Amino acid sequence: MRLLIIEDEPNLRQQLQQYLKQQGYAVDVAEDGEAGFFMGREYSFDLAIVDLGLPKMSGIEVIQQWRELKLTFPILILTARGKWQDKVEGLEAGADDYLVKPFHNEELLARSRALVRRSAGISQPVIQFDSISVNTSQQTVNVNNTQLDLTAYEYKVIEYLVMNSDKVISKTELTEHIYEQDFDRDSNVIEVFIGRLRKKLDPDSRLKPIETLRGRGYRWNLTRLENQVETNPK
Amino acid sequence: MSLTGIVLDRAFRNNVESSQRENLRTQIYTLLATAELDINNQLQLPAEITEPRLNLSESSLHARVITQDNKNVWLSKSMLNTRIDFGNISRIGEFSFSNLELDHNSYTLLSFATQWLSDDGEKTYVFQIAENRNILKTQINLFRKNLWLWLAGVSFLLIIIQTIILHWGLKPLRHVAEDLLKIEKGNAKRLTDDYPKEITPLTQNLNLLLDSSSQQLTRYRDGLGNLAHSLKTPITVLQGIIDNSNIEDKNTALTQLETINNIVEYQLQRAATAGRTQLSDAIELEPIIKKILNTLEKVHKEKSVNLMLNILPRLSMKIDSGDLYELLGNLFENAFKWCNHRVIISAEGLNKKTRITIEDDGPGIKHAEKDRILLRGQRADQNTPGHGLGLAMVNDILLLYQGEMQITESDIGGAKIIITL
Repeated sequence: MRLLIIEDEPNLRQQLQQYLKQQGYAVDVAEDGEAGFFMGREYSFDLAIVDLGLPKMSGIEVIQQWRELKLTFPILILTARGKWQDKVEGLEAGADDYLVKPFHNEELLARSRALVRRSAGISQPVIQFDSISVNTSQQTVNVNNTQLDLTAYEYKVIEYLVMNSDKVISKTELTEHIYEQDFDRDSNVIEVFIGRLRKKLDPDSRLKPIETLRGRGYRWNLTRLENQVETNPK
Repeated sequence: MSLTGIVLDRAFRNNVESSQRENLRTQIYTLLATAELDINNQLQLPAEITEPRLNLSESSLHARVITQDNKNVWLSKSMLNTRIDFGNISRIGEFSFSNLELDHNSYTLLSFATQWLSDDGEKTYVFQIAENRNILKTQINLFRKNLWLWLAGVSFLLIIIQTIILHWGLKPLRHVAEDLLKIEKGNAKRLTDDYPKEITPLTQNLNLLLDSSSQQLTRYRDGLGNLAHSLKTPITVLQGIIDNSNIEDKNTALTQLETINNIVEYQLQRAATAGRTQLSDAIELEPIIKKILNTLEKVHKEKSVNLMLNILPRLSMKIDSGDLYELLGNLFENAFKWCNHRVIISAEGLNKKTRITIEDDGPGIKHAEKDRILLRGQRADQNTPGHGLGLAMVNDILLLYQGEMQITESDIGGAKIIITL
């Protein structure tokens, strides 16, 4: 999953970028509202974390303009003022959640994950498909209760396919959601990832979790097991 | 008034006195006219003179003619009973006035010496006349009495008129004073525009002052908000660094940082609410409640909270909108956080006050914790994320608006909080 952080304070921006990258995200950053708005418009993100007090263009304005362009990725606001009027204003403009500074990075991570899941229509961190279970909190995949040995990018591919299992994902789209902007990519690498994943997920070739649709892309073929029980996510 | 009185009085007196003198001169001329030299070259005047007062024995006017040696040439009939001493003789051709006090009477004396040409040569005769001034005095006194009486009357009238005019003229100023009192109580924000144009400079400047002081307040609050913004980010960075570090007293460091943050946040929020009560407009509750609830429902989507609302439409409160947001935001947020599935919110008017009730079906708030919650920065459950300042903030706002909070158990199982203000 790829996310955008718009935060004008450099220390915080770098800290968040580093932390979230460690947690498995492809992270792009912007240091003011204008640059941030542009990036959100031009590239594909699964989540945006926007600080409200931005130079050049306010966070609220960025959010409003994104929503006007029908961009639907979830948005989490960061704000130093814990004022309720700002929270209400932010969510009315189109954000989906807010976090008041200072916050613990873990809390930011948990909320971000929840927002990404929510927009994929998934309510639990662990997604179960037959013998394959994907744990989006821990960023692990189990087959028959044994954890798979995956590289970071292999996991990212699975996660993206699983979270968008109702769609056909082109190679380009997959690339865009796995790498951040300046990464040196090679689209053939995706094919290699898919090949390796098929072997790891489905050694007996029984389940065929990932389907290739010639000329169009890939699709996660398994259906979710819906035995989810409602508990307090927060 | 008195000055006028004095001036008039003096003028009258002068007038009267100069009239008298003129009159006496005229009398002397008349005597001169009736005087004739006889065959013996002696000056003769008739026994009865045209001026009737000289012919009366009891009179206020006396006249005589004498020679230079003080020998009587003629005496008026009125002169017979008096002993008026005419004093020194004047020079020839000159009128000489003098005053005499005799037997409680004041006299004005006039002497006129003249030379008569006769066959025997030039003879000097002195014509003298005296008038009792008592009548004059009576005249003057009467005038004075009337004058002062009328002046007093006019003064009194003028004073009354002035009082009325002042009272009426200053009415707009009293009007301004009343409006200022209204502003101070919070029922208005500025002076209206309908004052007479004489005091519009005053009211316009007062409005400028009011605007400037409310702008100052906004600037102050914005300044504090900016301070909060600039402090919070370094604290966040610091927190991230400590979180990721392996320093020995990591937990202590984190707790200290949290304390710093709580203190900063609390004091800033308290300072920001200062002075707002005086200028509050009446705000409708329903739209704000709905906005806050929309926000909370969005944030807590996963929970699918079952929300029951019972808000009296058009119910409004005199409260600063920022304060209302904080008050309700914190209360509602707690309900959403702690509930299992259900939240019930109602708002109604009660004896000129507003009562808002928030209930949830969560674990509720135990007795012992009630007081602790209201202390600064305490949270009932340290595991639930969020800033524990919430209910303490609510308490502070209630204090500011002389409101009250009641914490009890709800019928649906959790906490029931009733606030009145």
